[in-house]
Amino acid sequence: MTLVAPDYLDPVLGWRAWLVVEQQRKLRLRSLIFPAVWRPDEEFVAECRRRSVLPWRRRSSRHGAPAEQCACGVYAAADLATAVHYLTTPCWQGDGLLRVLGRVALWGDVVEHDRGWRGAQAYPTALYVPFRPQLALLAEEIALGLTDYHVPVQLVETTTRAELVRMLQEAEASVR
Amino acid sequence: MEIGKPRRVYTVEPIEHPVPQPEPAPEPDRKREEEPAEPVKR
Repeated sequence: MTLVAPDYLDPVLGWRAWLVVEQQRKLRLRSLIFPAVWRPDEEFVAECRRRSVLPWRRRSSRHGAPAEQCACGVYAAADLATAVHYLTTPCWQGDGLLRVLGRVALWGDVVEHDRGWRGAQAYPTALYVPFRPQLALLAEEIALGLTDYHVPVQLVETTTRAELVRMLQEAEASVR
Repeated sequence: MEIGKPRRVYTVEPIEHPVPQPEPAPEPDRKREEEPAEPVKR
């Protein structure tokens, strides 16, 4: 048996956006691109689903995720503004109830990119529920439901992306 | 997600597991369990 020492002992921390969906009357985080639900208290394990989006090539890839030469893996952005952009991008798999942002820990094999990472295993470490004043009640319900993940959940009332970025940067700075 | 080009690959094995571990269930009240049964009155 060959033992290989890991390169790092602390998980990579990045930003990402999720869709919030209802599943069996519980609120759950779901990836934006693939219909993959993140279960509370369980690490999310990446798999290469690149072929599964093409209906005529519906079979799984033969490599573990993330592969350097593929696009698979759990994505996280180094920059908050990149993740914020995904709060409003079109979503192939339905819109869910709301989109949320969060800090995500990545570990296992990690592919480092210019502005983020792709990881093998992941779990949120903090969740932020941005909302406009008219959606306050829905946002509160969603924040409450997301406490199932046992990580800090914070409501952030905002009307613009720039304001959201500033508020989250301040929230992060106050935690450090 | 647009994160640019890949630079390098590495492995991360966190010492502390990033998934919150459920709090252990409270231990049963051993004192009570260990209490001898009431003596049977004859």
